[in-house]
Amino acid sequence: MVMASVSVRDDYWQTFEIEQEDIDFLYQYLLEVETPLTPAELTSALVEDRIRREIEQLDAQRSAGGEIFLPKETYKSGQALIFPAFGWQKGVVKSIRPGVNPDVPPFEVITVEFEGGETRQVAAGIADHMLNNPPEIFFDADVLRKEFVLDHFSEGIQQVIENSLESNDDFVRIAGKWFPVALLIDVNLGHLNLAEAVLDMEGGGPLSTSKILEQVEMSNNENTKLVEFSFDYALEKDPRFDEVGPSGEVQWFLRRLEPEEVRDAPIFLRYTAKEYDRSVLTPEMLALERQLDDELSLEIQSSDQKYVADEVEVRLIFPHLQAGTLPLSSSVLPIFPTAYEAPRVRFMLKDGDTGENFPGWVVREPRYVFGLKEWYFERGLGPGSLIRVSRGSKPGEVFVRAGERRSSRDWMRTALVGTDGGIVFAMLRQIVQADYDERMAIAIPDIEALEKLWHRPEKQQPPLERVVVDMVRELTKLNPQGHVHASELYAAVNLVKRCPPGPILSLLASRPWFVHVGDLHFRFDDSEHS
Amino acid sequence: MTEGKRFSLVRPTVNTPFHIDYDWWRQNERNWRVHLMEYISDEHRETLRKSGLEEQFDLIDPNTAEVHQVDAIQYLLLTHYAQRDNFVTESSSLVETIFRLFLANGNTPLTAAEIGERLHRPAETILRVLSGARIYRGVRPVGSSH
Repeated sequence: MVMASVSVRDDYWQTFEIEQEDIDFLYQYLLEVETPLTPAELTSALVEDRIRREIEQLDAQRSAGGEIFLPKETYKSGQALIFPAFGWQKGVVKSIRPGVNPDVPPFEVITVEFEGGETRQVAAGIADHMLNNPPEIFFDADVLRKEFVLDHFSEGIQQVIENSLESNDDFVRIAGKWFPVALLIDVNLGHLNLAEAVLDMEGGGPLSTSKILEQVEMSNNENTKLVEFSFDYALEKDPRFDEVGPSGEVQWFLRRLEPEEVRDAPIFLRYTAKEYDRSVLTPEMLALERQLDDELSLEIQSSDQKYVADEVEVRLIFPHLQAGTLPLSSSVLPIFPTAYEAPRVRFMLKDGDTGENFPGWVVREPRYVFGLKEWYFERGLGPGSLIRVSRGSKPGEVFVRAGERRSSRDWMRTALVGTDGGIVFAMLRQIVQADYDERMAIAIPDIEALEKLWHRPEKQQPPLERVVVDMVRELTKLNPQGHVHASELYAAVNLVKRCPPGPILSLLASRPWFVHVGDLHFRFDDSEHS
Repeated sequence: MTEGKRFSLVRPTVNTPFHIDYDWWRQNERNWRVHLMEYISDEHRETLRKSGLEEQFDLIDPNTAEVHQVDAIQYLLLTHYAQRDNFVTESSSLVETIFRLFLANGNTPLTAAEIGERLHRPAETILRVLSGARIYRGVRPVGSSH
């Protein structure tokens, strides 16, 4: 059997672009299945359809414009033929003459001019030749095999499909699934008011759509998935409701009953990024910045996201302690549940030592996890405390553990707030209940006085450089060498002002009054500053 | 002195296809027919001289049905002598064996790897013979004269 291979370009799927025909297909497909589908499911269907269409097109191209050449046939001058053995090229018979070969029964030689202008002589009228059996079409290329395409190009195709559907008003997406708007079931205001009442009764939520629907009488449509999806779409459009489920799971919460710290970032975590010179940062400073792993160090977030650890140690700083939050830095982020679209995700935290569960909220922007205030208090944690965050065996389960330590009285850097709002430091013995980072640990006897500094009007807030100078001056008094480590300074600055390490390190590197004495320790030179 | 062809500067590899370049024979003033006459018997030689050497025959490609016209000597050589079981292997010289292989297969291009496989010789050895400074029997990379 003769096999003739045909295919599409090798880079067909790398250069894949959505065409109107694809959109029409996806629309029709969703109409047929009447079920919202994920991008992966749409990709699978579209790839299958594209391959089918390409094969049809190739088939049509092959047989268009002429008869397939068979050596047993005889042909006339001017006849158009297609030659499978020459890559399905088309040609026209230009002349015919008798063949000369004493070993073969009489035959003809036709001269064929191909589309590119090339001419060849071909034998015709010979009964015994393998090409006399019509060639079996053999679509052997990997790019025409659905399994191969999905294994190798699925991610890129999904992205192209999602980008296209996002800009198309005929489709809607809820919790990562797509559906045509036209097919949604009507959800009226009465249904939504009932949903609000149901969530109110549950303390705001979270409740799944199916749980809400159990108490809201909707139409008798048998397609429960479609009813749920339509209800999800209506809830999403109503500002009273907030979708707070992790990826692939739809959970609803009443926005007005969400914790205030979830709806708006706590004052301690608010930071307005200002430009600073990163070019002055030394390799050691950049290494320290990565080690401190501040969620606001956006410059290092993207480059470090490839490494995903099962457990991450977090050094607590004062703003997170006061807000009852954990930083959602690049190393911590993969441990917590995320969502396709929902900006806030409600989940359960688990104390790794006691097994106690308590609710937590992932606030994707501006990158923190809320819900640990009581836990911090019960554990006696302070700035510099070490917290281990790890993923549980179940999806979305997150454990938190405070480093164990027998209660003791240690000499600790202690921040004292003066009546003028100024901060001084002293080494005092403090009761310590949890493990801590010695450089970043700061005891705060009067937290209320410190909190007041954060609530000062904007105009009364000192600029960062002033804070850094004051903190360096005070901290250098604590040791006979008269220097301060950059990480000590970072923790101290964050007692009064939220700031990632980058801008602080940039000031240390660029101002002549900060003298580097080695290993990221700095001395303050008053003569330069004056 | 006849100006030689320009040869490709791209060094052939074991996957470069080779064939007998008939133009090479013509440009190097070698008489193709005289050389081929050496392969056939006295009896056939005499018959050919009487019937005329210019007559053209149509060879049909078994895969594509394409027709290649060859003269009487080539026809006899290809359809009679080259089909003998020991035509390719009876030569003691590797160069001659390769040349006969092309005669026997109707001058279908073959790579050094393919030739090596058929002759049970390392492909690198074949490549070294075919890609040296000297061209044997006009066996050259396909398209190297362009």
